[in-house]
Amino acid sequence: MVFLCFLIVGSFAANAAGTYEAADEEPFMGSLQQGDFTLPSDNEEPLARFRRITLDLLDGFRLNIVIFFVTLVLALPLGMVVTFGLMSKLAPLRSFCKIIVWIVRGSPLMLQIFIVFFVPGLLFDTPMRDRMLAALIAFVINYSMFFAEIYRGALENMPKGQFEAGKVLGLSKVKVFFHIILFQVIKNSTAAIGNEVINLIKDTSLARVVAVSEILMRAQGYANLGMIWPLFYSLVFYLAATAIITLLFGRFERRLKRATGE
Amino acid sequence: MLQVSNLCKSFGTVKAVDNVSFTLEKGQTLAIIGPSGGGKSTILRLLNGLEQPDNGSILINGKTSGTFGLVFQDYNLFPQYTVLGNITLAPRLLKKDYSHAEEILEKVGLLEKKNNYPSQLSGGQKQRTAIARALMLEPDILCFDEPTSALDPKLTEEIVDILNEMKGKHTIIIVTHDMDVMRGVADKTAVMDGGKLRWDE
Repeated sequence: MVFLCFLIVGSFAANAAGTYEAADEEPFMGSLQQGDFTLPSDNEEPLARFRRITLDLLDGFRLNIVIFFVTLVLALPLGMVVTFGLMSKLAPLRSFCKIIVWIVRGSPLMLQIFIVFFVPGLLFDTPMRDRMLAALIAFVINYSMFFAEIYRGALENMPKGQFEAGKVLGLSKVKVFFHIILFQVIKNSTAAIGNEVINLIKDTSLARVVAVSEILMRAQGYANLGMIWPLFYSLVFYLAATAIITLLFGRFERRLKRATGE
Repeated sequence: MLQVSNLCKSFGTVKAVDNVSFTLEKGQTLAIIGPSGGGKSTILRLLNGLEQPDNGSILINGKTSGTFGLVFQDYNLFPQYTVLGNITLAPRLLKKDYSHAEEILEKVGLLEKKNNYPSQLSGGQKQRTAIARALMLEPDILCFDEPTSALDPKLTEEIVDILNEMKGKHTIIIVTHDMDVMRGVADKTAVMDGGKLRWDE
Protein backbone atom coordinates (compact mmCIF):
# COMPACT_ATOMS: atom_id res chain seq x y z
CA MET A 1 0.00 0.00 0.00
CA VAL A 2 2.82 2.35 0.87
CA PHE A 3 4.39 1.46 -2.39
CA LEU A 4 1.20 2.09 -4.31
CA CYS A 5 0.83 5.49 -2.80
CA PHE A 6 4.25 6.63 -3.82
CA LEU A 7 3.77 5.10 -7.18
CA ILE A 8 0.96 7.56 -7.83
CA VAL A 9 2.94 10.44 -6.41
CA GLY A 10 6.02 9.43 -8.34
CA SER A 11 4.30 9.17 -11.68
CA PHE A 12 2.89 12.63 -11.17
CA ALA A 13 6.37 13.78 -10.32
CA ALA A 14 7.82 12.23 -13.44
CA ASN A 15 5.38 14.07 -15.65
CA ALA A 16 6.07 17.30 -13.88
CA ALA A 17 9.80 16.68 -14.26
CA GLY A 18 9.43 16.28 -17.99
CA THR A 19 7.82 19.66 -18.50
CA TYR A 20 10.09 21.32 -16.03
CA GLU A 21 13.22 20.14 -17.72
CA ALA A 22 12.13 21.29 -21.13
CA ALA A 23 12.11 24.82 -19.82
CA ASP A 24 15.26 24.72 -17.78
CA GLU A 25 18.16 22.37 -17.97
CA GLU A 26 18.99 21.09 -14.50
CA PRO A 27 19.69 24.48 -13.04
CA PHE A 28 20.66 23.20 -9.62
CA MET A 29 23.27 20.69 -10.69
CA GLY A 30 25.75 23.16 -12.06
CA SER A 31 27.99 23.11 -9.04
CA LEU A 32 28.23 19.34 -8.72
CA GLN A 33 31.41 19.03 -10.67
CA GLN A 34 34.51 17.16 -9.75
CA GLY A 35 36.58 20.27 -9.34
CA ASP A 36 34.62 21.32 -6.34
CA PHE A 37 36.05 18.86 -3.90
CA THR A 38 39.68 18.81 -4.84
CA LEU A 39 41.90 19.53 -1.90
CA PRO A 40 43.45 22.94 -2.40
CA SER A 41 47.11 23.05 -3.00
CA ASP A 42 49.28 23.56 0.04
CA ASN A 43 50.34 27.00 -0.98
CA GLU A 44 46.77 28.38 -0.83
CA GLU A 45 46.52 31.22 1.70
CA PRO A 46 44.46 30.12 4.74
CA LEU A 47 42.29 33.21 4.44
CA ALA A 48 41.72 32.66 0.72
CA ARG A 49 40.81 29.07 1.43
CA PHE A 50 38.38 30.10 4.14
CA ARG A 51 36.82 32.59 1.76
CA ARG A 52 36.56 30.04 -1.04
CA ILE A 53 34.95 27.42 1.20
CA THR A 54 32.59 29.95 2.78
CA LEU A 55 31.35 30.95 -0.66
CA ASP A 56 31.02 27.32 -1.67
CA LEU A 57 29.02 26.46 1.45
CA LEU A 58 26.91 29.57 0.96
CA ASP A 59 26.24 28.50 -2.61
CA GLY A 60 25.13 25.12 -1.25
CA PHE A 61 22.98 26.74 1.40
CA ARG A 62 21.21 28.64 -1.36
CA LEU A 63 19.69 25.29 -2.33
CA ASN A 64 18.58 24.65 1.25
CA ILE A 65 16.86 28.03 1.22
CA VAL A 66 15.17 27.27 -2.09
CA ILE A 67 13.85 23.95 -0.75
CA PHE A 68 12.75 25.72 2.41
CA PHE A 69 10.74 28.45 0.70
CA VAL A 70 9.24 26.31 -2.06
CA THR A 71 8.12 23.78 0.56
CA LEU A 72 6.56 26.46 2.74
CA VAL A 73 4.80 28.29 -0.09
CA LEU A 74 3.28 25.08 -1.46
CA ALA A 75 2.82 22.93 1.64
CA LEU A 76 1.12 25.54 3.85
CA PRO A 77 -1.94 25.88 1.58
CA LEU A 78 -1.81 22.25 0.43
CA GLY A 79 -1.99 21.19 4.08
CA MET A 80 -5.30 23.02 4.40
CA VAL A 81 -6.66 21.13 1.39
CA VAL A 82 -5.64 17.84 3.00
CA THR A 83 -7.33 18.99 6.22
CA PHE A 84 -10.60 19.39 4.31
CA GLY A 85 -10.13 15.82 3.11
CA LEU A 86 -9.44 14.61 6.66
CA MET A 87 -12.59 16.31 7.92
CA SER A 88 -14.78 15.56 4.90
CA LYS A 89 -18.27 14.18 5.37
CA LEU A 90 -17.48 11.60 2.67
CA ALA A 91 -16.18 8.54 4.52
CA PRO A 92 -14.10 7.14 1.60
CA LEU A 93 -12.32 10.46 1.04
CA ARG A 94 -11.71 10.80 4.76
CA SER A 95 -10.23 7.30 5.01
CA PHE A 96 -8.10 7.86 1.93
CA CYS A 97 -6.64 11.05 3.38
CA LYS A 98 -6.04 9.43 6.75
CA ILE A 99 -4.12 6.59 5.10
CA ILE A 100 -1.99 8.98 3.06
CA VAL A 101 -1.24 11.07 6.15
CA TRP A 102 -0.31 7.94 8.08
CA ILE A 103 1.99 6.70 5.31
CA VAL A 104 3.75 10.01 4.83
CA ARG A 105 4.08 10.87 8.51
CA GLY A 106 4.99 7.32 9.39
CA SER A 107 7.92 6.90 7.04
CA PRO A 108 11.33 8.60 6.86
CA LEU A 109 11.51 11.65 4.64
CA MET A 110 14.81 10.36 3.31
CA LEU A 111 13.09 7.28 2.00
CA GLN A 112 10.35 9.38 0.47
CA ILE A 113 12.91 11.41 -1.45
CA PHE A 114 14.42 8.18 -2.78
CA ILE A 115 11.03 6.90 -3.78
CA VAL A 116 10.01 10.05 -5.64
CA PHE A 117 13.36 10.03 -7.40
CA PHE A 118 13.66 6.38 -8.36
CA VAL A 119 10.20 4.86 -8.61
CA PRO A 120 9.01 6.71 -11.76
CA GLY A 121 12.01 5.39 -13.68
CA LEU A 122 11.77 1.85 -12.31
CA LEU A 123 8.06 1.45 -12.92
CA PHE A 124 7.09 3.71 -15.77
CA ASP A 125 10.35 3.99 -17.62
CA THR A 126 10.21 7.75 -17.25
CA PRO A 127 13.26 8.48 -15.14
CA MET A 128 13.22 11.48 -12.90
CA ARG A 129 16.10 13.53 -14.21
CA ASP A 130 15.83 16.58 -12.02
CA ARG A 131 17.11 15.66 -8.57
CA MET A 132 16.12 18.98 -7.06
CA LEU A 133 12.57 18.59 -8.33
CA ALA A 134 12.33 15.11 -6.84
CA ALA A 135 13.49 16.45 -3.50
CA LEU A 136 11.04 19.35 -3.69
CA ILE A 137 8.09 17.07 -4.43
CA ALA A 138 8.96 14.81 -1.51
CA PHE A 139 9.36 17.78 0.83
CA VAL A 140 6.09 19.42 -0.23
CA ILE A 141 4.11 16.20 0.19
CA ASN A 142 5.78 15.35 3.49
CA TYR A 143 5.27 18.76 5.05
CA SER A 144 1.69 19.20 3.78
CA MET A 145 0.71 16.15 5.79
CA PHE A 146 2.27 17.52 8.96
CA PHE A 147 0.64 20.90 8.42
CA ALA A 148 -2.69 19.19 7.68
CA GLU A 149 -2.65 17.48 11.06
CA ILE A 150 -1.82 20.76 12.79
CA TYR A 151 -4.68 22.57 11.02
CA ARG A 152 -7.04 19.70 11.82
CA GLY A 153 -6.23 20.02 15.49
CA ALA A 154 -6.83 23.78 15.41
CA LEU A 155 -10.05 23.39 13.42
CA GLU A 156 -11.43 20.74 15.74
CA ASN A 157 -10.66 22.95 18.72
CA MET A 158 -12.60 25.87 17.25
CA PRO A 159 -15.63 26.65 19.42
CA LYS A 160 -18.73 25.39 17.63
CA GLY A 161 -20.34 28.73 18.41
CA GLN A 162 -18.14 30.52 15.87
CA PHE A 163 -19.61 28.46 13.06
CA GLU A 164 -23.10 28.83 14.46
CA ALA A 165 -22.80 32.59 14.90
CA GLY A 166 -21.87 32.86 11.23
CA LYS A 167 -24.68 30.60 10.17
CA VAL A 168 -27.29 32.50 12.20
CA LEU A 169 -26.12 35.70 10.50
CA GLY A 170 -27.00 34.09 7.18
CA LEU A 171 -23.43 33.52 5.96
CA SER A 172 -22.63 30.57 3.73
CA LYS A 173 -20.19 27.89 4.90
CA VAL A 174 -17.51 29.23 2.55
CA LYS A 175 -17.90 32.79 3.86
CA VAL A 176 -17.88 31.55 7.46
CA PHE A 177 -14.67 29.65 6.78
CA PHE A 178 -12.78 32.42 5.02
CA HIS A 179 -13.99 35.39 7.05
CA ILE A 180 -14.39 33.92 10.54
CA ILE A 181 -12.67 30.56 10.96
CA LEU A 182 -9.49 30.71 8.87
CA PHE A 183 -7.85 33.50 10.85
CA GLN A 184 -8.43 31.70 14.12
CA VAL A 185 -7.15 28.40 12.75
CA ILE A 186 -3.97 30.14 11.57
CA LYS A 187 -3.58 31.91 14.89
CA ASN A 188 -4.03 28.70 16.84
CA SER A 189 -1.60 26.83 14.58
CA THR A 190 1.34 29.23 14.58
CA ALA A 191 3.20 27.75 17.55
CA ALA A 192 3.04 24.23 16.10
CA ILE A 193 3.78 25.46 12.58
CA GLY A 194 6.78 27.34 13.93
CA ASN A 195 8.16 24.08 15.27
CA GLU A 196 7.72 22.36 11.93
CA VAL A 197 9.34 25.26 10.11
CA ILE A 198 12.45 24.95 12.28
CA ASN A 199 12.49 21.23 11.53
CA LEU A 200 12.11 22.00 7.84
CA ILE A 201 15.23 24.13 7.55
CA LYS A 202 17.23 21.33 9.17
CA ASP A 203 15.55 18.64 7.07
CA THR A 204 16.51 20.37 3.84
CA SER A 205 19.94 18.77 4.08
CA LEU A 206 18.29 15.40 3.40
CA ALA A 207 18.13 16.41 -0.27
CA ARG A 208 21.76 15.28 -0.49
CA VAL A 209 20.59 11.64 -0.63
CA VAL A 210 19.73 12.23 -4.27
CA ALA A 211 22.89 14.29 -4.77
CA VAL A 212 21.40 17.75 -4.56
CA SER A 213 24.59 19.55 -3.67
CA GLU A 214 23.27 21.41 -0.67
CA ILE A 215 25.47 22.67 2.13
CA LEU A 216 26.06 19.43 4.07
CA MET A 217 26.88 17.52 0.93
CA ARG A 218 29.59 20.03 0.10
CA ALA A 219 30.89 20.07 3.65
CA GLN A 220 30.99 16.29 3.62
CA GLY A 221 32.89 16.44 0.36
CA TYR A 222 35.67 18.37 2.11
CA ALA A 223 35.54 15.96 5.05
CA ASN A 224 35.99 13.01 2.72
CA LEU A 225 39.16 14.65 1.47
CA GLY A 226 40.49 15.02 4.99
CA MET A 227 39.36 18.54 5.85
CA ILE A 228 36.83 18.30 8.66
CA TRP A 229 36.25 21.91 9.73
CA PRO A 230 33.81 22.91 6.94
CA LEU A 231 31.42 20.30 8.35
CA PHE A 232 31.36 22.07 11.71
CA TYR A 233 31.42 25.45 10.04
CA SER A 234 28.14 24.63 8.25
CA LEU A 235 26.49 24.67 11.66
CA VAL A 236 26.80 28.46 11.61
CA PHE A 237 24.58 28.69 8.53
CA TYR A 238 21.85 26.60 10.11
CA LEU A 239 21.93 28.49 13.37
CA ALA A 240 21.78 31.81 11.54
CA ALA A 241 18.80 30.61 9.53
CA THR A 242 16.91 29.26 12.56
CA ALA A 243 17.60 32.49 14.45
CA ILE A 244 16.06 34.53 11.63
CA ILE A 245 13.08 32.17 11.36
CA THR A 246 12.48 32.28 15.11
CA LEU A 247 12.57 36.08 15.04
CA LEU A 248 10.18 36.29 12.10
CA PHE A 249 7.76 33.83 13.68
CA GLY A 250 7.81 35.72 16.92
CA ARG A 251 6.88 38.88 15.06
CA PHE A 252 4.16 37.09 13.16
CA GLU A 253 2.69 35.71 16.37
CA ARG A 254 2.71 39.13 18.01
CA ARG A 255 1.02 40.58 14.96
CA LEU A 256 -1.73 37.99 15.14
CA LYS A 257 -2.21 38.80 18.79
CA ARG A 258 -2.43 42.50 18.04
CA ALA A 259 -5.07 41.70 15.40
CA THR A 260 -7.37 40.49 18.18
CA GLY A 261 -6.54 43.38 20.47
CA GLU A 262 -4.52 41.26 22.93
CA MET B 1 -46.87 37.42 14.10
CA LEU B 2 -44.92 34.25 14.87
CA GLN B 3 -46.82 31.02 14.58
CA VAL B 4 -45.15 27.77 15.66
CA SER B 5 -47.16 24.63 15.02
CA ASN B 6 -46.59 21.05 16.12
CA LEU B 7 -42.82 21.47 16.36
CA CYS B 8 -41.01 18.19 17.06
CA LYS B 9 -37.34 17.36 17.44
CA SER B 10 -35.78 14.18 18.79
CA PHE B 11 -32.15 13.35 19.44
CA GLY B 12 -32.02 9.58 19.37
CA THR B 13 -34.81 8.43 21.62
CA VAL B 14 -34.98 11.70 23.55
CA LYS B 15 -37.83 13.98 22.53
CA ALA B 16 -36.20 17.36 23.09
CA VAL B 17 -39.14 19.27 21.64
CA ASP B 18 -42.40 17.37 21.73
CA ASN B 19 -45.23 18.75 19.62
CA VAL B 20 -44.87 22.37 20.68
CA SER B 21 -47.24 25.04 19.34
CA PHE B 22 -47.52 28.70 20.25
CA THR B 23 -48.07 32.12 18.78
CA LEU B 24 -46.41 35.42 19.53
CA GLU B 25 -47.75 38.81 18.46
CA LYS B 26 -45.51 41.46 16.98
CA GLY B 27 -43.82 43.51 19.68
CA GLN B 28 -44.43 40.96 22.42
CA THR B 29 -41.78 39.49 24.65
CA LEU B 30 -41.95 35.81 25.49
CA ALA B 31 -39.86 34.20 28.20
CA ILE B 32 -39.40 30.44 28.13
CA ILE B 33 -38.19 29.13 31.44
CA GLY B 34 -37.46 25.66 32.67
CA PRO B 35 -34.74 23.32 33.85
CA SER B 36 -31.69 22.67 31.71
CA GLY B 37 -32.23 19.76 29.38
CA GLY B 38 -35.91 20.66 29.20
CA GLY B 39 -35.69 21.50 25.52
CA LYS B 40 -35.84 25.28 25.68
CA SER B 41 -32.51 25.84 23.96
CA THR B 42 -33.51 23.37 21.25
CA ILE B 43 -36.53 25.55 20.44
CA LEU B 44 -34.25 28.53 19.86
CA ARG B 45 -31.93 26.42 17.72
CA LEU B 46 -34.89 25.22 15.65
CA LEU B 47 -36.20 28.77 15.19
CA ASN B 48 -32.77 29.98 14.11
CA GLY B 49 -32.12 27.14 11.69
CA LEU B 50 -29.28 25.58 13.68
CA GLU B 51 -31.32 22.37 13.88
CA GLN B 52 -33.84 21.01 11.41
CA PRO B 53 -37.22 20.07 12.93
CA ASP B 54 -38.46 16.49 12.51
CA ASN B 55 -41.93 17.85 12.11
CA GLY B 56 -43.94 21.05 12.39
CA SER B 57 -43.76 24.54 10.94
CA ILE B 58 -42.44 27.96 11.86
CA LEU B 59 -44.26 30.83 10.16
CA ILE B 60 -43.82 34.57 10.49
CA ASN B 61 -46.83 36.47 9.15
CA GLY B 62 -47.89 33.27 7.47
CA LYS B 63 -44.61 32.88 5.58
CA THR B 64 -41.55 30.69 6.09
CA SER B 65 -39.21 33.44 4.95
CA GLY B 66 -39.17 35.34 8.24
CA THR B 67 -35.86 36.17 9.83
CA PHE B 68 -34.53 35.45 13.31
CA GLY B 69 -31.62 36.90 15.19
CA LEU B 70 -29.90 35.07 18.03
CA VAL B 71 -27.87 36.38 20.95
CA PHE B 72 -25.84 33.40 22.13
CA GLN B 73 -25.30 32.52 25.74
CA ASP B 74 -21.54 32.96 25.38
CA TYR B 75 -21.91 35.70 22.73
CA ASN B 76 -19.68 34.02 20.11
CA LEU B 77 -18.17 37.30 19.00
CA PHE B 78 -15.51 37.09 16.31
CA PRO B 79 -12.19 37.76 18.08
CA GLN B 80 -10.38 39.18 15.04
CA TYR B 81 -12.90 41.94 14.42
CA THR B 82 -13.57 45.10 16.39
CA VAL B 83 -17.03 45.80 17.79
CA LEU B 84 -17.87 47.68 14.60
CA GLY B 85 -16.31 44.89 12.53
CA ASN B 86 -18.35 42.26 14.33
CA ILE B 87 -21.67 43.95 13.74
CA THR B 88 -21.01 44.94 10.11
CA LEU B 89 -19.41 41.67 8.96
CA ALA B 90 -22.62 39.95 7.91
CA PRO B 91 -24.25 42.90 6.11
CA ARG B 92 -20.94 43.65 4.38
CA LEU B 93 -20.54 40.08 3.15
CA LEU B 94 -24.21 39.83 2.20
CA LYS B 95 -23.99 43.17 0.37
CA LYS B 96 -26.64 44.72 2.55
CA ASP B 97 -26.85 48.19 3.99
CA TYR B 98 -24.81 48.75 7.14
CA SER B 99 -24.97 52.52 7.41
CA HIS B 100 -27.07 52.23 10.58
CA ALA B 101 -24.24 50.47 12.46
CA GLU B 102 -23.24 53.44 14.63
CA GLU B 103 -26.86 54.24 15.34
CA ILE B 104 -27.36 50.73 16.69
CA LEU B 105 -24.18 50.91 18.75
CA GLU B 106 -25.45 54.18 20.19
CA LYS B 107 -28.71 52.43 21.10
CA VAL B 108 -26.96 49.67 23.05
CA GLY B 109 -24.55 52.21 24.56
CA LEU B 110 -21.37 50.95 22.93
CA LEU B 111 -20.46 53.69 20.49
CA GLU B 112 -17.29 54.69 22.33
CA LYS B 113 -16.13 51.05 22.21
CA LYS B 114 -16.63 50.62 18.49
CA ASN B 115 -12.94 50.18 17.74
CA ASN B 116 -12.27 47.77 20.59
CA TYR B 117 -11.77 44.06 20.14
CA PRO B 118 -13.90 41.52 22.02
CA SER B 119 -10.89 40.59 24.17
CA GLN B 120 -10.94 44.16 25.48
CA LEU B 121 -14.61 44.16 26.51
CA SER B 122 -16.34 43.27 29.74
CA GLY B 123 -19.01 40.57 29.83
CA GLY B 124 -21.82 43.11 29.61
CA GLN B 125 -20.17 44.93 26.72
CA LYS B 126 -19.69 41.64 24.88
CA GLN B 127 -23.34 40.88 25.32
CA ARG B 128 -24.37 44.30 24.03
CA THR B 129 -22.12 43.77 21.01
CA ALA B 130 -23.87 40.46 20.41
CA ILE B 131 -27.24 42.20 20.64
CA ALA B 132 -26.11 44.92 18.21
CA ARG B 133 -24.80 42.27 15.83
CA ALA B 134 -28.16 40.51 15.82
CA LEU B 135 -30.06 43.79 15.39
CA MET B 136 -28.00 44.85 12.35
CA LEU B 137 -29.90 42.48 10.08
CA GLU B 138 -33.23 43.76 11.44
CA PRO B 139 -34.67 40.36 12.28
CA ASP B 140 -38.42 39.87 12.71
CA ILE B 141 -37.79 38.02 15.96
CA LEU B 142 -34.83 38.46 18.29
CA CYS B 143 -33.90 35.47 20.44
CA PHE B 144 -31.80 35.44 23.60
CA ASP B 145 -30.24 32.23 24.90
CA GLU B 146 -29.71 32.49 28.67
CA PRO B 147 -28.86 36.22 28.59
CA THR B 148 -28.18 36.51 32.31
CA SER B 149 -26.43 33.23 33.05
CA ALA B 150 -22.86 34.42 32.61
CA LEU B 151 -23.23 37.80 34.27
CA ASP B 152 -22.91 39.01 37.82
CA PRO B 153 -26.00 40.59 39.51
CA LYS B 154 -25.07 44.14 38.53
CA LEU B 155 -24.64 43.27 34.87
CA THR B 156 -27.80 41.20 34.98
CA GLU B 157 -29.61 44.37 35.97
CA GLU B 158 -27.96 46.18 33.09
CA ILE B 159 -29.13 43.57 30.59
CA VAL B 160 -32.62 43.59 32.05
CA ASP B 161 -32.64 47.35 31.50
CA ILE B 162 -31.64 46.89 27.87
CA LEU B 163 -34.31 44.23 27.42
CA ASN B 164 -36.90 46.50 28.98
CA GLU B 165 -35.83 49.30 26.67
CA MET B 166 -36.15 47.04 23.62
CA LYS B 167 -39.50 45.76 24.78
CA GLY B 168 -42.32 46.70 22.47
CA LYS B 169 -39.95 47.80 19.68
CA HIS B 170 -38.89 44.25 18.89
CA THR B 171 -40.49 40.85 19.07
CA ILE B 172 -38.36 38.96 21.56
CA ILE B 173 -38.02 35.38 22.79
CA ILE B 174 -35.88 34.86 25.87
CA VAL B 175 -34.83 31.42 27.03
CA THR B 176 -33.71 31.37 30.64
CA HIS B 177 -33.60 29.40 33.84
CA ASP B 178 -33.69 32.65 35.79
CA MET B 179 -37.41 33.02 36.43
CA ASP B 180 -37.30 35.92 38.84
CA VAL B 181 -35.35 38.20 36.55
CA MET B 182 -37.46 37.55 33.50
CA ARG B 183 -40.93 37.74 34.95
CA GLY B 184 -40.68 41.52 35.02
CA VAL B 185 -39.51 41.72 31.40
CA ALA B 186 -41.81 39.28 29.66
CA ASP B 187 -45.36 39.79 28.45
CA LYS B 188 -45.87 36.06 28.35
CA THR B 189 -44.10 33.29 30.22
CA ALA B 190 -44.02 29.63 29.32
CA VAL B 191 -42.44 26.69 31.07
CA MET B 192 -40.61 24.11 29.04
CA ASP B 193 -40.00 20.75 30.65
CA GLY B 194 -39.60 17.30 29.17
CA GLY B 195 -40.01 18.73 25.68
CA LYS B 196 -43.51 20.07 26.43
CA LEU B 197 -44.44 23.73 26.60
CA ARG B 198 -47.06 24.91 29.05
CA TRP B 199 -48.25 28.41 29.70
CA ASP B 200 -47.66 30.01 32.98
CA GLU B 201 -50.41 32.45 33.81
